[in-house]
Amino acid sequence: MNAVWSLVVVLATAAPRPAEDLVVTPLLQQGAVVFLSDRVTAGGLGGGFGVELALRQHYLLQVDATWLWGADNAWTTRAAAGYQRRGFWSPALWGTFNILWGNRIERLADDGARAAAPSFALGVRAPVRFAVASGFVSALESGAALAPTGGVWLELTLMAAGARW
Amino acid sequence: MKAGSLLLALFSLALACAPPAPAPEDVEPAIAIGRALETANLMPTVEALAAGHLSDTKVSCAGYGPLDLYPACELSRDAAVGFVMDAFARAGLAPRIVTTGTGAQTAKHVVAEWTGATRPAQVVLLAAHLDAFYAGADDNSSGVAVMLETARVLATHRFARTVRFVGFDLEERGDEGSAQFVREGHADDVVAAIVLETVGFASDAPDSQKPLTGFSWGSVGDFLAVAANEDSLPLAQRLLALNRVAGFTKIKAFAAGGSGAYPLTGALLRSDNGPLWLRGVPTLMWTDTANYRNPHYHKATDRPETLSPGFLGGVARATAAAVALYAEVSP
Repeated sequence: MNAVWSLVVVLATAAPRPAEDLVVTPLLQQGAVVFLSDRVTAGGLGGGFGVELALRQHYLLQVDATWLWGADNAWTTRAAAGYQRRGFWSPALWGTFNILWGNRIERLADDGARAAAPSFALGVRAPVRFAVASGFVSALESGAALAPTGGVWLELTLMAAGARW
Repeated sequence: MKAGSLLLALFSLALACAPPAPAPEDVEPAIAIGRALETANLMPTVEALAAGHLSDTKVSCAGYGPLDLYPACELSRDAAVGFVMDAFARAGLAPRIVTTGTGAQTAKHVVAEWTGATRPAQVVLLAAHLDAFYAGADDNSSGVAVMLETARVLATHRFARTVRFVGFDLEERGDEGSAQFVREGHADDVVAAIVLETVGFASDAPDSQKPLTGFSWGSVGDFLAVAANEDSLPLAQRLLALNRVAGFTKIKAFAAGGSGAYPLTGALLRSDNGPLWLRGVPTLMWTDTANYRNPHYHKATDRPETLSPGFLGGVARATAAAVALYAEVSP
């Protein structure tokens, strides 16, 4: 958490962003994820890291991993593609492919078979973002996704921040 | 079209990742034992245990404040200890009392065993707590009655493993009794365990089942809930496979990852399986879900006439069959 706030301070005092074609930004994030289906409940609170690629300041690609606590050890991996408004205030809309690994509560089938693992879902998320030359800060990223086999993925990233140096 | 193809590919991936059901095993000998259990004995046993609780001296509640779900000063156990000792003896067992703890936390557990024929050092444990608030018909005279009837039906068979029956004391003090029992090493030889926790109340009425976060068990309280962790998941799978053939009762089994001891599964740690899970003993907890279904839970109205004898009978037969399966029926 302290690392995220440190990044916030750095970004708040940074210069306006340059117009580079491709910008690569490592990021830290923390928040909550829950996956609910008729066979599986999983998720928790946690934090993680990732990397974001911004192309011409509009087009975004991101991969990240988040470790979660609450239902023992679980973790998510996510690949996302998005589009953001150009400028300091740069809200974005993402399409996401989410995978949740690790421990969960599962209901066994009547023949004893286990639920499929890992759980994955396709969805969208929409963060409030502020971007500057040295990175970005994103708050209250809420996302939702659906699993092709049934199930809902809900997420809330309280804060994510990326910095370049 | 491309999006459809992608979804199809993802769906295929999900199916490919689904682990197969466990390999079938010969469950017929165990099922035959379950079917031989005499269900007519169950309710008279519950009634006798409940009458004993009502007339019993209460356990001292000094230091315990009454809470909504825990009427601390209404706890009794001595009459149940005596009843279970007598019942085990009548079944041909040699019961003993194992005392654990000290002072106000002293617990008196009733322990009896059928010794295994070929692998006596491997123990299958069947447990039910015998302390109760008020009459305690569902919680937990129902579980004790099932344990006693299982002991009786197993008496006419031989098993590879030892079968140990334990009537735990002081479960209603936050699993204090079983925690002491486990801590003192009395369960270190257990390879499989079933804890019976409140197993006599069912209803097929709409909305008779309350929700619990994380457990997709529907809104009709007509099933036995079975809780497992990573260690006991194979036991749950074998139980389901057996019950699928026998149809003893409707079962919904839930498995928590790892030890099963974390915030989201806190409700699963409210019975004697908790200390066993934390010790790494493969343990299933069987329950009618208690206060998530039974409006009489921990109240003076938890009396025998509120129970569901048919449901209790199905649970008892499944219990006897499962214990026989885990202990391995010997020819």
